[in-house]
Order: sequence, then structure tokens, then C-alpha cells
Amino acid sequence: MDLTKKRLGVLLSTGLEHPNLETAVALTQTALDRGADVYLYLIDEGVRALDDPRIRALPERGAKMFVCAYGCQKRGIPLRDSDRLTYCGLVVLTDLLNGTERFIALN
Amino acid sequence: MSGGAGVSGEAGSVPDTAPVVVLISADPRRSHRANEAMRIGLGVVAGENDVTFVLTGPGVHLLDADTDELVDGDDIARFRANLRALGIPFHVEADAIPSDTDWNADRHEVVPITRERIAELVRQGRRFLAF
Repeated sequence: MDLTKKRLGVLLSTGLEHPNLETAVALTQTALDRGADVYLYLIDEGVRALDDPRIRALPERGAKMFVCAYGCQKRGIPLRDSDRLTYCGLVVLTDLLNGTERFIALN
Repeated sequence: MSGGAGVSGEAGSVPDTAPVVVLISADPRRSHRANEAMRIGLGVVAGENDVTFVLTGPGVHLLDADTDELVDGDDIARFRANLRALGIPFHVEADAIPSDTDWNADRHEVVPITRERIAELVRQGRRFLAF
């Protein structure tokens, strides 16, 4: 299936130990391979997924990655790699809900 | 529900004006995730989106009177008050409503619904977030 120019939003709110991580990585990689624009939003425990090298590599493959700044602050996670990802709030999540053709929440 | 995937369909399958459905079944007495779900839902409301909040199973305890017994209880009280001020009701699984007389002591608008009706609301939503 050609997904060129299609926009996929993926929300990940679970941490490193949860199988959702594998799903988020595989789904994002597959969608990118098929030409989709992928927007990945890490929230709640999902901000800890930044410690996974596969997640950190996704922006280099073309994914646009957003990370909940509040979630990082609450967990004492330093803001890093801000040249490759964007720390933001729920306004951006709302934009993704409204602006993507398909949206998948992995909670 | 300790985890769940909400897959929202192709644009056009439901009207753009259809609500975002936030379904909360996480237990706020044990997990912060019920509060986080409500925070996220409130954030989506702030973006001038129609949001339907659905509480099922132990998620109904988000309306417990004593928020000191809830994880992140102070935040729950604050977000609940914000939603009430905005006139946004909670759709609550009728069978899960506690018999405690002080449940929903703040008199938040509640719409008791069946599990079948919950399924309908999810189908009618434009986006679906389940916690």
C-alpha cells in the first residue's frame, strides 16, 4: 500500500517494559518505508522510550517526534536531543489528533 | 484496562465534527494513569474539540469524594473542577457506579450508560483514546 503523503499519528504512553514499544517502533518504521509522514508523540511513561535506541533513531529516518515536556519534568528526565525532537504540550497532541488521516493510541 | 490501543480510522469514515472519545478504565486508587487520561482529555477540550469522557470499571472512582485516597488526587480534583466548569459530563458505566452515598459528591453531571452504549460512543467517535 502506497502511503505517500498520508499522515499517521502515533501516541505512546507506556514505558520501556511494555510491548507497545515494539508496536510503536515497527509501525513507525513500516509506515515510513511506505512513504507516510509519521508523527510520534511520547507522553506519560512513554517519555522513557527516549532511552530506547530504536526510538531515538526514528527522527533520522524521517519521523517527526514530539515529547511531553510535562511528563519529562515530572519524572526528572532532562531535555536532550532537542535538535532532533520537539518538547511540547497537549496543544501539539491536539493538532495531531485533528491533522492526521489515521491516529493510533498505544496506551 | 492496563493497556489498550485505540485505532482511529481513516478520515472521512466519521464526520469531522464527531467527538474525541476518552475512555478511562484505569483505577485512580492504584494508578496515576486515570488522572493522566483526564489531563489529556482536558487538553484536547482546550483545543476546542468536542470530547466525550467515558468512565468504566474502576475508572468510575475518578469521581470519588475523597481525592486524598486517589493517586495524584489534588490534580484529579482540579481537572474535575475544570471539566465541571466547562459543562462537560462524564458518561459512566451504570453497573460500575459505587453505592457509596458520597460518590460524585461534587454533583458533576453524570450520564449513566450501558456497555452497549459505550460501544456505540466509541464507534461514533472521530478519535479514540483508551486508558
